[in-house]
Amino acid sequence: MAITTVQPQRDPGAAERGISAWGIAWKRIRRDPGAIVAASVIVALVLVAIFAPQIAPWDPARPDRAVSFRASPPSAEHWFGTDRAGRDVFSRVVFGARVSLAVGFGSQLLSLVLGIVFGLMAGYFGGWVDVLISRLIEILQAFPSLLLLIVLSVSIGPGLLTAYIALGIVGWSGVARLVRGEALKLKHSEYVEGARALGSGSARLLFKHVFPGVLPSLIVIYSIGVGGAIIGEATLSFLGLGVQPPTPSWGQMIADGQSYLTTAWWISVFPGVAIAIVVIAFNFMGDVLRDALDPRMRGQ
Amino acid sequence: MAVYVVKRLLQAVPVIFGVSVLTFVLMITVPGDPAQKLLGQRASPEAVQELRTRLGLNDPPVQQYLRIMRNVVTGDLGRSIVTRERVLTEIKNRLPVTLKLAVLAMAFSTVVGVGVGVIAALNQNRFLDRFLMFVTLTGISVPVFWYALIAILLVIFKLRWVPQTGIGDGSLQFYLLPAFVLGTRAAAFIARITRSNMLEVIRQDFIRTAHAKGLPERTVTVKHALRNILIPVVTVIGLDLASFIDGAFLTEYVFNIPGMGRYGLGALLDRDLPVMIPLVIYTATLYIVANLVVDLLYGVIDPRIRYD
Repeated sequence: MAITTVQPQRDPGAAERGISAWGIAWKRIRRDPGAIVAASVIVALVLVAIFAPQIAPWDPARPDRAVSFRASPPSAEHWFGTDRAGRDVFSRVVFGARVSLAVGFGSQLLSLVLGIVFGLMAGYFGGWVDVLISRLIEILQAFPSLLLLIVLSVSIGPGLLTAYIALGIVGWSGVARLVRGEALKLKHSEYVEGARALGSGSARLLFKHVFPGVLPSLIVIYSIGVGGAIIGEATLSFLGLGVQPPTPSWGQMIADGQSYLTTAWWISVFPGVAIAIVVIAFNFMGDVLRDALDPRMRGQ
Repeated sequence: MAVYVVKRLLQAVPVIFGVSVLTFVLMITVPGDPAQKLLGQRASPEAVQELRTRLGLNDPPVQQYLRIMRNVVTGDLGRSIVTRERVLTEIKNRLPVTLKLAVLAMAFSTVVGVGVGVIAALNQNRFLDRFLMFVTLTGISVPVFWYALIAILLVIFKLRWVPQTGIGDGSLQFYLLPAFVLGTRAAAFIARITRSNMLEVIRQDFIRTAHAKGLPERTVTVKHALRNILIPVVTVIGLDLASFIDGAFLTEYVFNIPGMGRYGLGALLDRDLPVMIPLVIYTATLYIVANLVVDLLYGVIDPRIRYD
């Protein structure tokens, strides 16, 4: 059986029992222990980011005078040690979650909005609009994203806002390609034609009929995109092009410890572990959501 | 097929042109300039202006762009603004280094990735499968620059298997660790794709037939199943190439390897346009050609595929 609608009824009796495709998806997610773990990690990290000032035992920006401005190894006092300025690495990792998660969630929201708008326009209107947007998507995808990310950050000037914008711009082409393809397909589907015959206008057709069709795929792309954006932000900060000191960010902390790897490994190791855990959680969540929401993409 | 190749290459021209224009426009809007950097922060504005004029940075943008593109088209490539080295000479020295690294990393990621993917699929939902899938998930989730640092810390400083970072005398031993680091993410990615495609194939009728007629497990896996997943796997390797190039940039940066990636990153940070533009064009071309090679490989893997 070829599944062509996007919210398929995999459970034949579901419609009668009043369970929607979303309900089925929710049931699948709830039953998956891995999904529970990944979701808990994400929720915990969001809480850590929000309550960073309450959780961090030390001031992330101020050195502990007792260790006299040098790197000290992990101890009962400083769980992750201190960096070469004598600042508590644990507290800095806790505060670093703010930048990472904010940039991850925020930039991908921008990607989604840009991708949806351009993708719907290209797919729905076709003609020269489609040609123009499609070529732009192609150019962006032929451009290694790191290169574009660096060029954008250098040209806007390093900083938090830049990270949002650059990562948002880098991410939209994938979303747009998906939305365009889906809009093209749905444009000629019977239910959209039916709605048009009943007198729906373009805007209503796009947002009431075409957009809900791509929503499941978009949720998956968003989850994986957040993980990617967190790595992107860390990479920019690592190269000195992201969030600027004294705001702590994980990439910047890894760069700080780079020259002291042999003598003070803890400065670089802990922020890297933090990045890995967050990104694993988002990627895992993406996989689970894909299996639950979008069977056509399963296994990709 | 020749017609198909020519057509594809012709289609690539506007994309490559677009990429070069995009880079140029973005780069000239960048604040700060190479002249200031060459003369230092204390240089007088007059001196900076004079150097800018001498370097041609005060010419109208279109003229600057055309000058760079003329060099690209004639194959001369001109000189770097910052180091005054000939770009062509630099690329000649660096390209082999990057290619060696990339080929090693690709070979590693393909062999390990396909191997792990097949093993995981044949043990679906058992402990080994779950373990391997967690490892590969970690592999695609860890930032490559951090992973590179950890590898340097463990292998070079603690275990002392390799004396130093960089490429030393250029012998193979210096390439192995960076190639391993660069190849890990791709290997993890390929393993996941291989597994899911294997899972689909081993449920097909022809696999059951092969089992039923008493073929050994190994023959069924290698000759019947594996051959049928090559197309999706090769497709994904091609699609993943852009992030492979990104990874190569960062790996070269952290390992201090004098390849194209380090060159590009340096030129970018110096706003060295005569170096940047050819490098961006080179990267985009590489990406497009690699995708074309992938499309042509389809025909080799599956002779039923024809090009038109």
